[in-house]
Amino acid sequence: MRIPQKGIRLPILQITDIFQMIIASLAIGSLYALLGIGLNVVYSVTRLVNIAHGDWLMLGAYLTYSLFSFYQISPIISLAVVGLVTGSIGGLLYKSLFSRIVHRAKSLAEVEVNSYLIFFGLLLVVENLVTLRFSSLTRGYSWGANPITYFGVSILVNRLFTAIFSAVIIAALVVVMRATWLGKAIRFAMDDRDAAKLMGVNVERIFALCCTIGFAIAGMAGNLVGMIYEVSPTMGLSYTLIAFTVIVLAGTGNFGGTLLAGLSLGFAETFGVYFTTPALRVIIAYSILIIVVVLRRRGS
Amino acid sequence: MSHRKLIQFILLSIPLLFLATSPLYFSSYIVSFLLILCFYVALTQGWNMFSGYSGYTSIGYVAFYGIGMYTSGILLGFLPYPITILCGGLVSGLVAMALGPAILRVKGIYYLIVTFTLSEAMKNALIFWEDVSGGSFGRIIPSQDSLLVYYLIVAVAFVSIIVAYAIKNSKFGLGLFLINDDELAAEAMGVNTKKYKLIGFLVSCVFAGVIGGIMAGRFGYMDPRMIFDTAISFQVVIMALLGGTRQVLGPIVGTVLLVTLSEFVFGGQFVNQFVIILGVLIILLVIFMPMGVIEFVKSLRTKRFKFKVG
Amino acid sequence: MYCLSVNDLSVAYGGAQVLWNVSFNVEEKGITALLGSNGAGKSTILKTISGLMNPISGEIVFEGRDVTHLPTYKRVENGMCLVPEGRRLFSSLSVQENLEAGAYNKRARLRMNDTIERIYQLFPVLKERKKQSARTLSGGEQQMLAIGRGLMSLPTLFMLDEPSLGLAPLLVSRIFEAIRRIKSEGETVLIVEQNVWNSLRIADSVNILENGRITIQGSGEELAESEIIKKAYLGL
Repeated sequence: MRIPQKGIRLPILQITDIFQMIIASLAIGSLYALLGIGLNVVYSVTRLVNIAHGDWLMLGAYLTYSLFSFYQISPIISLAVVGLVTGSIGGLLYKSLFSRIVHRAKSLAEVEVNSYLIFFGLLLVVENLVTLRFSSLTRGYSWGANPITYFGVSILVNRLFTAIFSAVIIAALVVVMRATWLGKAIRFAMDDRDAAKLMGVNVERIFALCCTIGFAIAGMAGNLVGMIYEVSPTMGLSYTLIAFTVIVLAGTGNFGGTLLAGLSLGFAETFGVYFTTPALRVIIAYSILIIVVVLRRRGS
Repeated sequence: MSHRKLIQFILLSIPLLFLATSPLYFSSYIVSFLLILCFYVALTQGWNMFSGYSGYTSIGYVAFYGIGMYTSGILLGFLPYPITILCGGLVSGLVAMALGPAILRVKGIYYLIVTFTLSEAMKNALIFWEDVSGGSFGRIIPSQDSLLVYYLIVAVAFVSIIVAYAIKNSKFGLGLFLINDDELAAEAMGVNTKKYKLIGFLVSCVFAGVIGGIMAGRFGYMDPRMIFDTAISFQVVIMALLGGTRQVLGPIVGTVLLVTLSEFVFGGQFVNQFVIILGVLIILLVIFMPMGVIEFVKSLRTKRFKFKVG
Repeated sequence: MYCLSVNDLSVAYGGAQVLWNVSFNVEEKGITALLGSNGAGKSTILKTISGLMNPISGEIVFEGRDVTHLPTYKRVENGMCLVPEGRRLFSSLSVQENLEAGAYNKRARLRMNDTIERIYQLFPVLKERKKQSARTLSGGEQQMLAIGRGLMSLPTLFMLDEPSLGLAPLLVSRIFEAIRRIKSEGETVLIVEQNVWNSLRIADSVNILENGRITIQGSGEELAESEIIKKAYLGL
């Protein structure tokens, strides 16, 4: 029987170690930020509580895995495919299901309540469909697991790619939100949807678009995750929790802040893992989440 | 006793009588099924009397069930069964008192996140705390007479129904419903929302603890993953929503429907295909029957009546 | 042809019927007023005309076209504009950004900069505060911003829902002055109000709404002279 290490150890850190950890934090943090933004786009604008966010990620990961294993399609190329597929799922689901609860509800709170139930149902369906097709065993593939080294600090190619891609997507979103009429329309719809309608904004289309974008981001994040970690049908929930932590920290609607929040979380995790054991890490992570949510929402 | 109450009392005693005498003429398989049924009725009713009435939907109810079971299970070596059951309820209640004020501050999806995370954190904490839980391998505990366990579960199921009924028809229950409709308005009307929420939460968690305490005697074995099973939390929510959260009968109807379906169609396993159907069911529920089966049936009747009158 | 024709409109809200067979017309280039006390159903009418609510029966005809079931954004594109009750400004945005929001529709977007200048001439105080966040403005300023934002959409029919609500009397006259100026520049205005006195003075055509039904119709002058109105609404 393995006796796990308990408690906290404080080893001596080298400068290169610190740089290494900073790079690793940025890599994982940008992924977290991406997760957060995908969720934020949907929630802040439409008030739909996408608790199945991680499951669209999971779909993306499995799709990438299949394309890679069976057709040898590189995960970089499959990004586009995955984005399209999960994005379309988002748009279609909006048109067929979500729009009904959005219109029927008499208050935003009502939309929230009904939506998490629908997403819960979707979560059950998606996870079990994937399990039926792929079995519940974890799968994995390796791509870009070779390191690039600069000045004694190395980073794996797959993580580097993840960080760059996430940064690009987030930057693109921020630009769209600030500088384009579409982005403005989204901000109006976020602020007051009836007033937005009165400005001439086709709010229905905006909502469908946000769902499409949010789901596409989730899927693409799954594509990236699959490059680095293993995939399993039930992986979704932990990513959903991370995404929610990020948006709670950043505040809904604050897209720039989401980047910061994601990165902070990345730092907290990387440095935190270094000082404790894996088992404790999960507990600490969850405890932090609970504390953050409770403190942040005080008086709400 | 008024006419109506008499009918209700009879309606309640018939199933009670049936359940009480079942072991005499039914096979142990059926009795086992009835035990599971009553278990879920009790658990769902316990969940509903706070989360359903007040709208503070929790998807981490299994945590308090787990606390009760672990407390009882550990103490079974030293104390008699009935006492360990009470201890299960007690410890559950204490934890609820400690955590309640903090987590009841948040609502809606945040409450959802917090309750789920809490449940997961407790599971992982117990896995980590190997001396108590035996880690991933679990721990053996003395099992109790299965007939005794059965009767205790039946008893707690009926107690939960009575308590749910009592709450629903009391000023306290009204307060919870008002909190559900509009917490700010309720506060403005003079409802002490903090107190009500905490009491409701406490009662609900104590029930879970007691149920857990009883079930400790069933398996002879406990391990964190089996007990703090998120599936249980989810199932309870689904069953309550299916039947309707505003009725006492709601959780019962929802539970009977789902447990029966699962047992006889899918051999009692919450197998993948069954869960897919469950998922589709929830989606249809939200879109077509957001108030649950009972309200939906009621509304069909009134629609038919309107149609006749023209 | 009327700018707007409302025929036999019935609307229900929350399970209860609020408007019964409401019919009235809005002439071009004039001010039409819909007056009534609280709960008479005035806001419901404007919300239904602009598409935020759906009627159970009846029709709405705008410039000869049936718009009864058209979604709101299409009505705005066609030239119907509503300044809603309570203003509904975008609180997270600045004065300038709110005005620009008003020019969202494609027609107005092209002429946005010219229109903004016109608005700043109409309401100079907005120009002073153009970078300020909308929520820092006073009640009167917010109303001016809401009206300005509405005008930015280059409407053919300009509708206002209780523009004087919650404002001090001095500001109320300023707002009504602005509305009169807007009309004199050739706009068609439909205004819904509780403030009968001020409305009668600027309105060309008046409809009185009581408990969801139109009870009195006439020109502004006629009704201002009418004894019934004087007793019921002006306390004379």
